[in-house]
Amino acid sequence: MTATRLDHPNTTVPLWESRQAALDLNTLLADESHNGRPPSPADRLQPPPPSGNQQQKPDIRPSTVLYALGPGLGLVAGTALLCVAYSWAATRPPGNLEFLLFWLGELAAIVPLAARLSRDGPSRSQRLALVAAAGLFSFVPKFLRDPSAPLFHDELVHWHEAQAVFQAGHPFVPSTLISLIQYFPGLATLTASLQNLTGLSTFQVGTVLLWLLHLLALIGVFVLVERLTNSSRAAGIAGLVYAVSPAFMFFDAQFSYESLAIVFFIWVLVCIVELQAAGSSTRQQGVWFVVGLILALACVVTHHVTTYALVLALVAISVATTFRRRRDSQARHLARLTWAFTGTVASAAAAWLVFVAPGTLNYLAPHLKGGVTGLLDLVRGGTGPRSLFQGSSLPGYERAAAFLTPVVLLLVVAFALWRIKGQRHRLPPALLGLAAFGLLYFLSLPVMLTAESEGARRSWTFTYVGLAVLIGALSVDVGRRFDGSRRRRFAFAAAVTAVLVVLLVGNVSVQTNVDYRFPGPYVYGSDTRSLTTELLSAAAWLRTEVGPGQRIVTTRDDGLAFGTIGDQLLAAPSTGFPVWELYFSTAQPSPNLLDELRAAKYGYLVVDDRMARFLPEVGFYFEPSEPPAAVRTHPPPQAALTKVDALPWLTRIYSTDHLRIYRFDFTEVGACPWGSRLAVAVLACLAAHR
Amino acid sequence: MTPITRPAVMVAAGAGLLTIGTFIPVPALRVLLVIVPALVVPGAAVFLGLGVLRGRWDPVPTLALGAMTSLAFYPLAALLLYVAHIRLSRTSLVVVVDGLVLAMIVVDARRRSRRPSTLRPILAAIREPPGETRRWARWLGTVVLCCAGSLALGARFLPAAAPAPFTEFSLTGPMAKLTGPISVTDGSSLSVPISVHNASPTPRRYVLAARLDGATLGSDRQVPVPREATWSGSFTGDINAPGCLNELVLELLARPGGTPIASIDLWIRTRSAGCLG
Repeated sequence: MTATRLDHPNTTVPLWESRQAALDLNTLLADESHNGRPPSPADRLQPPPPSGNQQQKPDIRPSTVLYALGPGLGLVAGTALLCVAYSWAATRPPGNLEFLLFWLGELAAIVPLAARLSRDGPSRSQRLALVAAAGLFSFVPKFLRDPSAPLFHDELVHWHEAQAVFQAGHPFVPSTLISLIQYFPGLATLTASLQNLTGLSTFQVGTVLLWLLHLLALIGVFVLVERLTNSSRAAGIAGLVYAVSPAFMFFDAQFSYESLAIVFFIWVLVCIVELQAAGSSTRQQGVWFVVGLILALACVVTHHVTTYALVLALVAISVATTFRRRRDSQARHLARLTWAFTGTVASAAAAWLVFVAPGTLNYLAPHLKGGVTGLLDLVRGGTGPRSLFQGSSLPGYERAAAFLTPVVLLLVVAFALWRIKGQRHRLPPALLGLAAFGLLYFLSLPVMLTAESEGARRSWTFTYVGLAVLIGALSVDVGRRFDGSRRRRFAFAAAVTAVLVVLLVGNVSVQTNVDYRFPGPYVYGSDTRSLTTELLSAAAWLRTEVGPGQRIVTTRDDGLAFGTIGDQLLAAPSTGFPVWELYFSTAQPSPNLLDELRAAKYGYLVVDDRMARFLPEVGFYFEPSEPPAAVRTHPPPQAALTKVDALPWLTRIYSTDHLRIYRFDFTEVGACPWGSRLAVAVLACLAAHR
Repeated sequence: MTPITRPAVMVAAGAGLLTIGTFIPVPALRVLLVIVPALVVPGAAVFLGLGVLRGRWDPVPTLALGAMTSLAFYPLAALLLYVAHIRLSRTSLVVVVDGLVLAMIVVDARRRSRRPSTLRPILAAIREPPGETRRWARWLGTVVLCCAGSLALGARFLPAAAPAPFTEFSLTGPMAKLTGPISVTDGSSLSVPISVHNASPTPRRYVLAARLDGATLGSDRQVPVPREATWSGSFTGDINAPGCLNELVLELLARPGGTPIASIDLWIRTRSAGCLG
């Protein structure tokens, strides 16, 4: 079986180098004459393959049937097992069985896919179908986690923003939960547009989009690596590598701006690679420039970090293109064009940052600063490294895989670099650029030992694209050497599958905690498991009975429901606006705080009495700078919460088993109630009348 | 006059389907008609305008890139509408998409009338054995259907989490919008509209008790509420308060003399001769 690209017959433009070099590249990277070989410039120059005698009858053996049916059966069985795992987790006390069922389901799907994709037999279409299936399957766990309503923290915030944009009919609707998201309206406007056209709800449009984005992301990685390596086998393996990347299964499967932007990121890279592959055809290059720019601009208005990562990846490609060995006019033109594209995207990102979203720097700076400070502190030996998985209920094998993952990656990447070292001048510059970009993954690893580990984890979404490219390129080279005998082919498939399984288990466990991954009993301050029906009902009550848009004071956990489902405006606690005084102290709040609350017209206070029983899973009740978040070992005293019951400027208008809603009336601050039950009320009254 | 090409006709037909489908009043039919054109037409129109929707293209990657371009189109179009002070609505979006399609058809026709294109398809097709792409598309479709079936069966037959039961006790009606203490004349009767919601799988018989400054006010009252149901009524009591600002607590108990499940605290400001200040 042979495949040839059906390009325009008049086109005689080689891909990276001269025709000879392109043929060398094929020899190096894509010795796949037996299967659906993907596009290569050499293909364009060669006559179409003879069809008759080469179309042999397929060799149908039991193993062939198993290979053909295996991935399909594995995907269906995997889906069924995941359903059982999620049902078990939702209805039984926490244990190990849900983990076991989860991984059985995952492995049932991934192992046959990996085994099939690493073989040399499948056609390109089959590989593409398998990668597409992997993309859709990787969304199943997140879909089962919250099939009927948004649940994750960021997801709720973005869902609310999309609804607000849909109702307002324009972007830039302020959000009190994450103020920055209003300045990156890509996801919200896309969702609102599709809502307007289809009539579906925000959640339904979001779900359709996420299925689609998972599919498009892996097809994008497939096309990217296929164009870079001229091998659909490499593309398939790279697609699967990205499918097992840390954020793909959960974090980038939630309805949030990064989930959309990362797919733009991948396809912009496809465009720049195609632009470089267009050879001397200026018009074809222009086409890719325009399409790439459309996608890049959409990325700029969708997500800040993805945009900056994109600029970084483009710079890496541009540098690699500039410093390639050949210096003829075509190479210089290509380098200029690549820089022009990078410059345009960087300028658009800078313009958006300066003129539309200047708050981005303040939003990102603490994380960057924290990461650098943490690293320096670590180097100086100021504080010991952060203990990974401290207090985690993850099974031991998941933790082991999490520690093993960077080691396995390091070995694979080192081997890949060693293999391509001698051939680097003949490889596409974009491959080298993206490989260099992927190596940033290893630079981020020490940050995991600091308090700013979140930043390191978030970067892997992008660097894994580079790693997928590198591992894809390696798989062609190594795979070709193992294709000699059946035993060697099996060994190669087994090695690829083993690496992918370790990466899958390690990446999921390091990126997503148990509360986000599985349903289960209530956990205070966990975002997902603290979003109970009781809390949602309270938020809905306030919205229905009092109306949306009220200014309310509450904790981060309850605020998530009140700010989104309840559609209320939330106080943003800070050291300058320490609303935690209302919750942490048994004393009357400071006059300054009361003045601020009064001036800003805050109307309602929400109290959850479980706050006095539990420490929050996320580590803080309001925000990280609250006192004493870093060293807190006990929850605030119960008396600090019950004090508000005797204050005449607070009227309890709603309560459930655990939640209470109070109405502020600051005109009654200092009023003297008859027979007050609480000393602070009496003291306040005396102070007011002194 | 340059004849309209087949891709242009296809894109125009998609835009037409999108336009008509968007205004169909049957929700399911609207979704069925609109969802695919909405995700494909803007991207396809851009490719048409660029002159690369031609020849034999690689179906899956081209469709994927088309969908990505469409997904990129909507945020950018929404920003343009915002700058132009036009509301993002069904009509404005349809007009924008149709405008894009029309513009791209014109650009395509004008370019072809000037000179023959030397452009290749945006992503050229890969030669494979006949029917290979279709065969694996069918495979993918079958697997997706089977997986969807698994999900549907799981949702239907596997046990799901039961939400933790709770009780909701609140003021209701205009009283829910209370802004501070309630003013009453000393000795007069006070009626407070309240609501009790039993969010549990069994009927419950609550006890409603009232205390004014800690002292029992009136007698306890039984409030039966069926499962997953709401009871609405009112508490009525005579206010004979000794002070000017008194605390009225309405408690909802599981049984007489039990611990309160939930409560409402109201402040009563008495209008009497001694309480003018």
